Amino acid sequence: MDVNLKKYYKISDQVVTRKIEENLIIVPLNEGVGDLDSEMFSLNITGIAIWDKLDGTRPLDSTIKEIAQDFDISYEKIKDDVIKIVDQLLKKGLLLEL
Amino acid sequence: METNIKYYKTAGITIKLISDFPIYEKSFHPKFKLFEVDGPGNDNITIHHHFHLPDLSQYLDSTKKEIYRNEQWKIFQTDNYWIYNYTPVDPVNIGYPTTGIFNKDHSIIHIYSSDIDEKKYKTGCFEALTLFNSDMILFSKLLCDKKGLILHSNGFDIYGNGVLITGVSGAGKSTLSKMLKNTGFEILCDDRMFIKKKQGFYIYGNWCHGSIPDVSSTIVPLKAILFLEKSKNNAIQEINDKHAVFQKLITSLVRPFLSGHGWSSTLKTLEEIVHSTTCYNTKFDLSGEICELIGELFNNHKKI
Repeated sequence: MDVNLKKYYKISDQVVTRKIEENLIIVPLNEGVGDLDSEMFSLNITGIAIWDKLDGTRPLDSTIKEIAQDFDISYEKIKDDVIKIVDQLLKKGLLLEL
Repeated sequence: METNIKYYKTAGITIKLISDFPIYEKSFHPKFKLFEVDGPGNDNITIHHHFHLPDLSQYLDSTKKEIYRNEQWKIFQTDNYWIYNYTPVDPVNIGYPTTGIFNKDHSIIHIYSSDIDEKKYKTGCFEALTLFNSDMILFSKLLCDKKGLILHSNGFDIYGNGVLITGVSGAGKSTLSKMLKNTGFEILCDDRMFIKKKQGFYIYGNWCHGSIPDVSSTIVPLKAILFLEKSKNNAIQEINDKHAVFQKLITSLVRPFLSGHGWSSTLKTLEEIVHSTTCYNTKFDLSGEICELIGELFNNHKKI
């Protein structure tokens, strides 16, 4: 699935998260249960900023603009990083395209 | 004396085992002798052994969903039960095809195995009270509900200090464990260590061992975790970066089948362990010098 800047994305409800130190640990669930094969993920500060905004209320393009503003860097500079993370989250089933 | 009921205890949990067949001297591996107790404790669960097929109709309803499947396991959950179907896979797994019906909190368990007759049960030398290949499925759930978890690690009692040894596969857990054992320190269990919070965290000897069959029912306060690294020298260095410790430890976590709530609780417990335990990078060669360094470190802890 290709990442589309005009699409809305939302974190799946089939995950458990916990912020530990400066990272967010993500455990995917299957039918509400995390199992032996579940691969856990960890996001750093930038990843968390992206994760927190993926609530399905705005298109990805707007999300990137907000993050660029929050981190005081240019849209172009951060765009590829956000797309990369969104792509990974989509592939892992942690993110839903609305 | 012939009996159909026995009690075993680890991690502060007493297991009442009730069997349809008498429980013989050789029904279970001799290691279980270390964990046998006279009767119920403060925290009790019951395992019933049956030697026929289960009547699943009394457990399965419209809420049934399959939550996991591989060659060895088929696991179903309903609103009230967890149903584990275990099929040993030759030549890796031990035991017989077995179905376990666990109530929601895993405090009442019915184990069914129609492949086991009384003769097999009499001399079975079973390695797990659930008659699966191990009791980890049971304990990972029980511990999660009691501020505990299981870490892929070896546990030692070093001058009254609970010390866990962990590291990536091939880092030398078994090698160092043998060296420490030969130095005279007591191994609680290799491969899987039970950790549970009382006032602080404690490590519990248990019967879910790996390649070293020595186990112990000893309980000691968790004082340190050693992350191993094979090296050409010997050194122990404290790790102050708690995030790095967490990242290392999470890879050693024995991942249970848990609900979202269970996972939240497990991650919280792991975080508490990280913050309350001193962790060390431990480099060692085969000279045995590391055992002296470890001994000195924890002998000092004892004096303090």
